[in-house]
Amino acid sequence: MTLETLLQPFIYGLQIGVTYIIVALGLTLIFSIMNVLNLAHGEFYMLGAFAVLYISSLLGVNYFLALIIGIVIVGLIGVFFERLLFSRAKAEMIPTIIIAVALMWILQTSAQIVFGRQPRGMAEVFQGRVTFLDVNISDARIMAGVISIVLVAALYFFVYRTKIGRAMQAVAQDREAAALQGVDIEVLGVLGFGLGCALAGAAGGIMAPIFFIDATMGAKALSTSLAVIVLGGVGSIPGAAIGGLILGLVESYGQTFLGYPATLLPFVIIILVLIFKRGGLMGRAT
Amino acid sequence: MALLELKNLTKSFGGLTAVNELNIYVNEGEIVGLIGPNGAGKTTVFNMISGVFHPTRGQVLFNNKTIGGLMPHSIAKKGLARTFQLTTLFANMTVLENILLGFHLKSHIGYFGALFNTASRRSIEQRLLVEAKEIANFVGLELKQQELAKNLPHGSQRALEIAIALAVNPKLLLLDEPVTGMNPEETLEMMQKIKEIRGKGMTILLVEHDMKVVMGICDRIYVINFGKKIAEGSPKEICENHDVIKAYLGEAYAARN
Amino acid sequence: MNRVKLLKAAPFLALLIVIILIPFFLTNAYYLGVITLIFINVLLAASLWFIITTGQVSLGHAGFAAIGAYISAAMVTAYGQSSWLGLIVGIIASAIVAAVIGYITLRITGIYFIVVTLALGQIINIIFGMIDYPFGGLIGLMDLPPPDPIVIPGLPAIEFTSKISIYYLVLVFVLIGILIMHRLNRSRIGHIYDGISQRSNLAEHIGINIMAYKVQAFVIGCIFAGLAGILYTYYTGSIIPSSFTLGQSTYYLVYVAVGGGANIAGPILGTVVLNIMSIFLRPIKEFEPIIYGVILIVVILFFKGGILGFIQRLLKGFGRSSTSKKSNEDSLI
Repeated sequence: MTLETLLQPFIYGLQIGVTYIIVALGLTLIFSIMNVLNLAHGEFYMLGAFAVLYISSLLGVNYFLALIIGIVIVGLIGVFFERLLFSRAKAEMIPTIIIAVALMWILQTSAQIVFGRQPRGMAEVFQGRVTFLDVNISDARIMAGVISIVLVAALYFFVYRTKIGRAMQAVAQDREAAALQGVDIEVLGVLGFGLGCALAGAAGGIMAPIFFIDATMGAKALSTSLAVIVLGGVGSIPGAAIGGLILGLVESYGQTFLGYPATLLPFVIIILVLIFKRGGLMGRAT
Repeated sequence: MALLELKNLTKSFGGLTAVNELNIYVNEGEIVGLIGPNGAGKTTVFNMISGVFHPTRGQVLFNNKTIGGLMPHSIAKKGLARTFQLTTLFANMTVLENILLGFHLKSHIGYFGALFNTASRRSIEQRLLVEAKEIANFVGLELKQQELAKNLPHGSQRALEIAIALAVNPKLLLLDEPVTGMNPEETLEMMQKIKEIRGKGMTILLVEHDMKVVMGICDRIYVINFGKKIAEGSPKEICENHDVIKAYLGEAYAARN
Repeated sequence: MNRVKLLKAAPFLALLIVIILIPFFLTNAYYLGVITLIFINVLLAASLWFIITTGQVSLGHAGFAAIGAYISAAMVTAYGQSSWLGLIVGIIASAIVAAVIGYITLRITGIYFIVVTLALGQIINIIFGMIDYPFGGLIGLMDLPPPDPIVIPGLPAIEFTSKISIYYLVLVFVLIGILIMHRLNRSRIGHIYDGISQRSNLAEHIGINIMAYKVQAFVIGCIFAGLAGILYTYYTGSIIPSSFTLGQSTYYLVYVAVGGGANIAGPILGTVVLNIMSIFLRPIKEFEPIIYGVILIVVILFFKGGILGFIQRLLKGFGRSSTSKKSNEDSLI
C-alpha cells in the first residue's frame, strides 16, 4: 500500500463527492420545499447527461454552452412534470411516491427507446491527464470538479444571499409562517422543483465526459443522493455538502479496496443514520 | 392518598421551561380543574401525565406509583384515559367502531382467536357490542351509531371522544377542553355528563377555558401561568383571587378591582 | 353459515372453482405457468398490503422474498435437506429477519421508514449476490430440484414434476396466505391496525401497543413474502438476484396502489389486472413501463381507492349498499 493507492481514491473521491453534492442539493431542495421525495431524481440526472451529449453534438456548441442549455432544459422538464403531476398530488406521501415511481419508469423507458440501449460517452471533450504527487487524474475530472465547486458556490450565494433563496429557506423551515409573511408558496414550489431537477441535470452533464452515459445511470445517482441527504440531514445544505464529500470518498475507496460489496455502503449508511440519528450529521437528533 | 399526584413536575424544551415545579394532587372522586391563560402549559401537563412527554424533572404519581416516562399504552392500562384539545377520533370508522376499539384493554384479543373466529372470540365481541351501545347512549349518540366519525357534527364528535375514553374504563379521566366549539346547550349537556361520569366513580382532571363550566362543576381548581402554579382553591376562592384576575385580565384591571 | 354469508361468498366460491378447473381446460404449460406466476405476485402484493394496513409502507418487500427463496434453495442444494424442511426454514428465516429489522426500525415512521426499507431491500439483494456458496453469487442458482413428493401411506405419492402440480401447489399456499391475511384484516386485529394507521396517538392512548402490532404485521407480511419467494423457486427452478430488486418491490406497491387498499380484494385485483395487461402488452414490451406509469398516474390522481374503490362506488351507485361502512376513498391508498 503506497501513498498513491491511498491518495488516488482520495482525489477521485473528492471530485465525485463534489458532484454528488449537487445532485443531493437538488433532492433535498425538492424535499424541503415541496415535501416530495422525488424518486425520479436520478432520471433527471440521466436526462442532463443526454441533453449535454446531444446538444453539443447536434448543435455543435462547445461543452460549456451545452451544459448551460442542458441544465435549463432539464429544469423546464422538471417544472412541466411538477405542474402536470406533483401539484395534483397535494403533497400526500403515498400518492407522491407512486407518481415519482411512475415518472421514473416513464423517463427511463422513454430514454431507452429514444436514445437506445448502447452506452455512450463524451470522453473526447477533455483529453489529457495531469499528474501531481503521484496521482494521475484526467483533465475531464479536474474540469468536473472545478465546475461543481463553482456551481455549489453559486448555489450557496443564491440560497443565502438572494431574496428568492431566503424565501425558499423560509418555506423549507415553516410553510405556514412563510405563507403568512407573503411568500407565494405555489410559485416557490414550482421554482424549487425546477431548480432541484436542474441541479440533478447539471450533475449529470458534469459527469458526462467522465462516465458512460446510458438510460439506467440514474439509479445510482438516486441511491447515492438519498444516502447523502440522509447522512447530512434532510433539508440541510451544509449537511449535503459534508455528506456529498463523505459519500464520494466512501464510494471511491470502496471501489478500490472492496469491489462489488462497496455497492452496499450507501445503503448501510442510510439505515445506520436513520436508526441512530434520524436528523443526520447536521440535523436535529430525533 | 391522592389518586394522582404531580410532584415538582417540570418540563423544558431546550431553553424554554413550559412547566415549572408543579405540585398538584387529585383525590379519588373529585372533579379538579386546571385553568390558565393560553400557553400556560396546561396541555403539556396532560402530555406528561398521559405519557406523550417524559418529565424533565419531578414525578407523576398515579395510585402512588410513578408513571412518568412510561409509554401511553402502559399508562392507559393502569387506568388513565384522556381526551385531546384538537378533535382526535378514528375518522373513517363508525361511532360504534370507535368505541369498540376503545375496549381494547378488555378485549382479550389474540391472533389465534381473531384468525379462527372462535366461539369465545365471538361471545366477547357480542358482549362488547352491547356495552358499546350503552356508552353511545350515555353520551347521547344512540341515533348515530352507524355514522362515520368524520361526518358527525362537532358536538357529537366531542361526545364520541369522551365515549372512547370511557370505553377504556379509567379510574382517572383527563379532559382537555371538552366544550371547545360547543354552543351553550351542548355545553350544559356536557357539564351534566361530566357530573354523571363522576357519579359512576371516576375521577376527573379538567382543562377548560369556559369559566361557567369550570366554576360550575369543579370541586377544586388550580390556576397556572407560565408553567407555574399561581393559585389553588375552591371556585369561589379562585374567583376572588387577585393573582388570578391579574393573570387573565391584566394588571390594570386587577388594580381597578 | 347463514344464508346472507353464503350469498356474499358465492361469487368468490364460483371464482375459486373456475381457478381450480383451469388446468383441465388450459393444458398449455406456458399459460399455466403465467397464471402460476400471477398467483405468486398476488401473494406478494397482498402481503405488502397487509403491512400497509398499519400505515407503514415497505419498499423492500422483494428482499424478504429473496430471503425465503435463497435460504430454502440453499437448504436443498447445499445441505441436502428435503424441500419441505427448506420451506419451513426459509419462512422462519424471513420471519426472524423481519422481526429483528422491524423491532429496530418500526419506530421510524413515514417517509423515513420507506427509505429504510428501500435500503434494506437493496442490502439483502447485494449480500446474496456477494456470496457464491451456497447462494450462487451474481449468477445465482440453476437447476433447482422440484419439491419433494408428498408421501401419505396408503395413497399414491404426489409428485411435483409437472407444471400442473406446481400450479396447484402454488394455488394452495397462496389461498392459505390470502385467507389468513383476510381473516385477520376483518377481525379486531385488522381494526387495531386500522386505528394505528388512522390515528396512532389515539390508538396508544386507549392501550394499544402500536410498536408491537406494527412489528407483528410486518413479520406476518414478510413471512408471506418469503413464502412467495420460495414458491417462485418452485416455479422457475432457479434463482437470480435480479428477480429481487427494488424494481420488483415497486411493482408490488404499484399492484396495491392500483388495486386499492380497502380490503384484500384490492391488491388481488391490482395484480391480476396489471399482469393480464402485461401479457397483452408483450408485443410492445419495450413500452410497457411507460404504459404502466401512465396508468399508475391516472389511477392515483383520478381514481382514489384504486380499482376496488371504483368498483365499490359503482356498486353503491346501483343501489346495492356496501356492507362495509368504511369509506374506501380514505383508506391509505
